[in-house]
Amino acid sequence: MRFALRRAGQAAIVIVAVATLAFVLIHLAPGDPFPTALDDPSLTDAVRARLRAQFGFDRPLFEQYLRFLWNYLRGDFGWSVARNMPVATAIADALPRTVLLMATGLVAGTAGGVALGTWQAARRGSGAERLVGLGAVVVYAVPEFLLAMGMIALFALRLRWFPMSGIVDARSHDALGAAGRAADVLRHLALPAATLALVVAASVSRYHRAAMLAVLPEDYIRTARAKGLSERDVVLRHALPNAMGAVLALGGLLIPALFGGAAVIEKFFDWPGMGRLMFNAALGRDYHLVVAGVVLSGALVAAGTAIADVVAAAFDPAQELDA
Amino acid sequence: MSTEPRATRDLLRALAADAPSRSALVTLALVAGAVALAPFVAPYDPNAMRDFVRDQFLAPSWSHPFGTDSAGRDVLSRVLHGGRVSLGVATLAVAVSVLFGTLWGAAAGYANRAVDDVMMRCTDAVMALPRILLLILVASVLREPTAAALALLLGVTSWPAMSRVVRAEVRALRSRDYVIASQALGATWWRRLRTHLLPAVLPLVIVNATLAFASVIPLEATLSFLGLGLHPPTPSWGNILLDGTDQVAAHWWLVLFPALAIVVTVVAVTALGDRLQQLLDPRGAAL
Repeated sequence: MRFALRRAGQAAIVIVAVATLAFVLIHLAPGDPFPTALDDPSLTDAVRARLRAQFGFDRPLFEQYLRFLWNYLRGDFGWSVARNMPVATAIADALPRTVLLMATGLVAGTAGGVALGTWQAARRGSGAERLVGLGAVVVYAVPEFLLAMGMIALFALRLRWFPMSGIVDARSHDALGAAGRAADVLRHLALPAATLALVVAASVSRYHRAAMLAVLPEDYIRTARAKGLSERDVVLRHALPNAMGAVLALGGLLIPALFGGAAVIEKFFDWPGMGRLMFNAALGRDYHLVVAGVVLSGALVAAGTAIADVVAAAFDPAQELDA
Repeated sequence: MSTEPRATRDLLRALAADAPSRSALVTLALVAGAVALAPFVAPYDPNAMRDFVRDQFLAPSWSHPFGTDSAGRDVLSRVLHGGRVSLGVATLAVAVSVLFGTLWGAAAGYANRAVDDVMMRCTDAVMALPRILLLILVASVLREPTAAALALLLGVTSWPAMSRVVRAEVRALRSRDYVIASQALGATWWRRLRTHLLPAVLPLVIVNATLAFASVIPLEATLSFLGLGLHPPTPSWGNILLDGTDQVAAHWWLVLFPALAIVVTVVAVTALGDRLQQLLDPRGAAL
């Protein structure tokens, strides 16, 4: 419990540091952090000065910083110029879709990766195992966007099993009943989620295989074999639970990569979540939205990592000492 | 992480004795050599636009092993020259990350508890940011980054992992008897650093640099592919791919070859990194 509290405190500090970092980066740039509106050549200097005053850019930097932190604390993330709506509204629309994509990819990928890693450890050194291991390294090495392109080319263009982009079918979605709408979203979810799951499974299987191989030579495994358990029971009931701690600890490290991977995948499958929102905001120089996205994902990652650490510590109390 | 100091030489010798690592090394040497010598090896000028009607979209053949693109440019020459940029950016980025990560980690390892805490929370903050989002944020500020700026950017986002490893090692080492003994015998901090700390930290730095290299190449490709990294006419593996995607259905070679270049390089570097890590810490393996 004390560990959980201390970890929560650390996460809070990290979140403030992330916000500071985002603020500093944006203000290091030349000009105002709002150039699209202020660069307009038809504006007179007087109007420009009034706009600057309105957004507080004429204030000392430190005051702007405190105001920025205070606004974020109140849940006011500023105004998206490109979308002409509060940043909070834009994010509230996009975030649940990203969570849906990430949760599906994470659960499917972890389950697949653990299964694969366990199988690899049990069949260590066989031809099939080596082939799967090489496949995992290749998937791990390939940039997500290439993987996404391959999935689209194969399953959407050639086989036509799944739609290639978007979250719903624009023509038929509104006419569908509730069940039909859910099925429509799931059909669109299949390819991006599968791509993300592949990325996750490649990492998880590599770590899990190593963790299993570290556990298998232990004495208690030899004891289990000696008392006559089948190899299947030895691997699944004695080795697997003890190797799981490593995967849980990996969860914390994996979350930032997962966020980034989801962002790229969203961009490719035109999935209207946080990643696509952020890319478009960056290309359109919609700074308030970019900063809010960075701070929010930093906060989610910090929280996620802290939770993963606490869960991993519950499995393996020795880890508390390292933190 | 192992705290036993192991000589860098042992590590490299073990690597050379291992067949898969040898083939990875040879692959890398071939790629690096071809790419470094691109101006001499490449059969054509990578940017020369030639006869549109006659030279556009030629399928791979003896005169154009990787085919030609929409402007009649030779894809092999573009991949070779693009590799110069992509691998150059990656190398510079890793150098920045090694320098910064090692200094930061060593400083935190040497510092007292409070300073160490502050420094490590900063590291956590950078690690908590999904790199691609941080890069998007900075790229949106920089508009069109040059290759050097992009390398710097990739470097300053990949140092935290390095600094954590170095810090842990330095912290563990500085209370070792032999280090304390050398201090008691009057060795200067520079001598202690050179004779006791650096040799122990170097193998860890090599492993981390290898893994960082493997992660930076796809990242640069992704950014350039998304239009946030290097822009034409500077060819990089990412923007060559971007060029090719529009016509991939009819002209597969525009995507396959630059993609293969990325995959082969990264797989070889990853394999090396994995093996190095295993050699360094046989029990923890990939953990």
